[in-house]
Amino acid sequence: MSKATEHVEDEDTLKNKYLTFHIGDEDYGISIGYVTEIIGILKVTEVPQTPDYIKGVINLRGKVIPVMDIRLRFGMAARDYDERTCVIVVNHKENVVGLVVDTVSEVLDIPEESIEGSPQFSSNLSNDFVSGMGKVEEQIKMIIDVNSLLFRDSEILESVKASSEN
Amino acid sequence: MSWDDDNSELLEGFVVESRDALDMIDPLFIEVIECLDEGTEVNSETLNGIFRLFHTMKGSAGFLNLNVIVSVNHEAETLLDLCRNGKAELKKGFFETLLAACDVISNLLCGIESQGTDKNILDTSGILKILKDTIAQINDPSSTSTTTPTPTTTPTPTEELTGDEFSLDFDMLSPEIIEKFVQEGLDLLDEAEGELLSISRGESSEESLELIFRNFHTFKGNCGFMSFSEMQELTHCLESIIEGVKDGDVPINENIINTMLNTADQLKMGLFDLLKGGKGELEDSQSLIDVLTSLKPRSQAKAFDVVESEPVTKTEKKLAAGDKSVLYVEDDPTSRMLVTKILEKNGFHCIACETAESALDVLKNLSADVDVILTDINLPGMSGKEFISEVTSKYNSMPVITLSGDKDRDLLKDLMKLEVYGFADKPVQKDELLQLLQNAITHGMRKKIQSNTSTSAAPSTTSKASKVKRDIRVDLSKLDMLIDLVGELIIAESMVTKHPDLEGLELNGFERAAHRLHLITNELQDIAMAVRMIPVSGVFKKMLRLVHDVSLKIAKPIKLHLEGEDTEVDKVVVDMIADPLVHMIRNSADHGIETPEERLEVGKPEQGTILLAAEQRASEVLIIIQDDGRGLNKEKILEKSRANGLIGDNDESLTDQEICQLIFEPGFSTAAEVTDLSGRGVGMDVVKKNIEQVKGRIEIQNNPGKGCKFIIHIPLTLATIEGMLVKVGTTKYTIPITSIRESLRPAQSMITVRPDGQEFVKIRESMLPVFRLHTLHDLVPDNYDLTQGILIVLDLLDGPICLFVDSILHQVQTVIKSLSGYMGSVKGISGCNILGNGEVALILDPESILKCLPSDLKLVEAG
Repeated sequence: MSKATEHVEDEDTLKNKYLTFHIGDEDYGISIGYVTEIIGILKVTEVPQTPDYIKGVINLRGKVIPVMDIRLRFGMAARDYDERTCVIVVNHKENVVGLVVDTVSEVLDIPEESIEGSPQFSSNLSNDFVSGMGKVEEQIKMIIDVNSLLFRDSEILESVKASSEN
Repeated sequence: MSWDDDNSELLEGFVVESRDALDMIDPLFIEVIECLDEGTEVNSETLNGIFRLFHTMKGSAGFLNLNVIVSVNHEAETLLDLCRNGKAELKKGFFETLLAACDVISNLLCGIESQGTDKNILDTSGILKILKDTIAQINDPSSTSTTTPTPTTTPTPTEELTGDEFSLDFDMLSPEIIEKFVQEGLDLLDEAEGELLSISRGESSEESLELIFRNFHTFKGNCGFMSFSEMQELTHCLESIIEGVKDGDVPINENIINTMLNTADQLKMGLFDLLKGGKGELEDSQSLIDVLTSLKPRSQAKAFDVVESEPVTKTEKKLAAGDKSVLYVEDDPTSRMLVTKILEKNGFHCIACETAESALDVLKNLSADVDVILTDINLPGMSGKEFISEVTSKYNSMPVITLSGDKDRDLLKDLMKLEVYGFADKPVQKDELLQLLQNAITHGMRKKIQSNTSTSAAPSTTSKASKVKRDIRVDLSKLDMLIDLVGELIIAESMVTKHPDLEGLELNGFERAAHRLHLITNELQDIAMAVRMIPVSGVFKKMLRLVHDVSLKIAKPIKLHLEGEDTEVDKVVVDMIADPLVHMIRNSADHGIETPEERLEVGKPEQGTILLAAEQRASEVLIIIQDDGRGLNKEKILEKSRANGLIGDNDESLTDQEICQLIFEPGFSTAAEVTDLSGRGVGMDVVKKNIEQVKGRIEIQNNPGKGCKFIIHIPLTLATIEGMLVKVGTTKYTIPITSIRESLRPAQSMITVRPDGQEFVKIRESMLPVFRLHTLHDLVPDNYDLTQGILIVLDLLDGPICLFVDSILHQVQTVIKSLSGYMGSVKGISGCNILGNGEVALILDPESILKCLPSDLKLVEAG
């Protein structure tokens, strides 16, 4: 357990808590406020006419939710799913989406002051989805911007986005 | 009490409840009006029912400080009361006025919903004036003296008049109970005040005195029950004076009335104090009591003189002080003495009787109920058992405790059936008995409060009470969740019981347990599905009012018959058919039914009839709207349709059904003139759209000159689909069975390929284009050879096509789920369903499947 989590847990410090996960060699964090649950990978039913990073839909206890492969969303190479592959179920603006990640590690407390804005260089597509760099004991956790992860640059989702903004 | 956000929930509840109440009132009014039309006697229970609904609404509104609603309700109530008391001859006009009042209330409710208050929403002075005028008209001829009948002359409905002489600690009172008490108290005092005023104007009558007395008495009882001793005492004084006046011992004069009014004001102050969280203490109650006592006829009021003839009388007057009263029936004098003494010592007021008969007399004559009955079983004359059954049937909120040395089990069982609260064995332990009594009193009180609040409409006839459906409101999304989970449970069940690891094992015990589980999950599923189903009666009853209004407006007497209101349909379907029904019934009334003159001419009864019926047939619900009017005029429809360009000029090939269906086209109307009811040609178009949305269809049976019958076919539920499960590669699809004509494995000889690559299959005499689902959806199939897979012939609007899939798995009946909104709508897919093993299959939408063809592969005309 890191030092950070030993702090007194205040109700309203939920925003400083991040679920961290790995993709490739990198660590990412997602604000715990979005996360509803973490499940192992289930059988995914492919849905035609969707972007490649939308792997399809899964049956989450009777609820059918889409799953997005974060690797593909970040433009990385696909990787076969194994027993460590997890689906992080997030809920953003009433959209429930499963995010496929390589492995989930832990929930960390990353105070606002230790998060820096993401350095601006656009060589990597995944940069678009990172809202900041959190430093936890010399390690860097990239903080995912869930809104852009779900909605940015997705032609097929444009219409949905538009209608949800109306 | 003023509004803040915390109250919004209460307010919401009030609006919903009041809407329900209005919905219930409407049909009752129609019933009354019909009775009046036919000259038959109006059922007094119906009037009482309406009265209670208004009264309840007024009470709740008063609670929430919705004074505008209260005022409208109050006037309506007053008018109704005059009607039901026979003070006014029942006239149709009254009920039309009251219906209008209902509309005003309904509008106010809308306002409350949007603004949280009923003020400044609309001008209610008009309706109030009409109501007041009507009341004045009724009152005028009947009252000998001056005008200005006060609207507050409403006697309290009888169910409130049973005094509640309970008492309990202040701490036990929840704010709701206090609010209720205050509200009721204010009502009682207001009414009494109104009567007092009318007495002061010289309109004194036995009745108003009675009413004042009853009101004070009830209020006193309530105070006693709530342990507000000061108010109780004060009211007691008032009561005594009124009694004196009644008996002629006290001359009624201005002075007395003023004093009493002042006292009432004081009491009201006390009530307001309670609302603010105070203890209901009065400012100078003692001085008032002194004044009042000086006015009293005798030093002691004899409010309970009726029971004075009973064996134990010396403590009767104590009842007034709000003690917990116990009616004790015991034939053995020693026991009687002993127990009475114990009880008196411990603060109970005890009325002891020797026989059950005398106890019943006491009960009958007591102006207030006793809190608990303690009775021996073995009694001379009427047995304890008979006594108890008599008591529980007449005074059902009165808890009964038996005291007996007898330990006969059968007897106990019988007593349990009679809802006896508790049993004490002789010889009885003092503490045990006291505890039991205390519990029983609390229990009885709770029961009483319940019966007072939940069913303020509690009718005296038990048969009606048993018909009242108990229900709760549940968020639809919670229900959907429940259904989802039940579905999951069933899947999980089959995952466990058919687990591959179990294969080949002899597991007798397990099989039995699994079977039992299966039965339970099946039943659970049935119930979960049934939960969404609600009877159509709600929507149907609304139509009564509609027909009534329309019939007045167009001056055609029309009667609406309802049949099969109990038919249950999916909630969504019920909501969806409400609008279409309004349009269709309006149409039937406005266009279908002829004018009374025309009807008489063709030998039909003057009154037109519309039948609205519902019935379930297989997996469909039929809603039938039938009128006995002139029927659809084919020529007129054709003419209009041509004029509107709906059909070509020379279209002669239309069948009758097709012609009739034209009335559902947008912009169609045969009405020569647009009335404010119908004729714009929008109605039926909406009807068709709504019905189609719930996957229904409308059939018309036209019988020119005799009437027209519309039959709406609606699937029982929108939630399920029957389909064929097919496989392409690893992906599974459900194809709606209604679209499938046949399926086959083609022989090589049947296949023809056009130079552009489009494949055709010759089935019998027709060439059908073949579409490969794997191409359409970019999948990897098990094989690419048409002769190795299965062709499914789909019936589409544009003609049949063949869909190539790997194989057919089996038929499924399944719950439709929507694809996530996040993905938007996917072409060719209408949703998805969950299979027995937990996998998700996509439901194909046959009509749109070709739209997802890559553009260079666009369907080439198959001709």
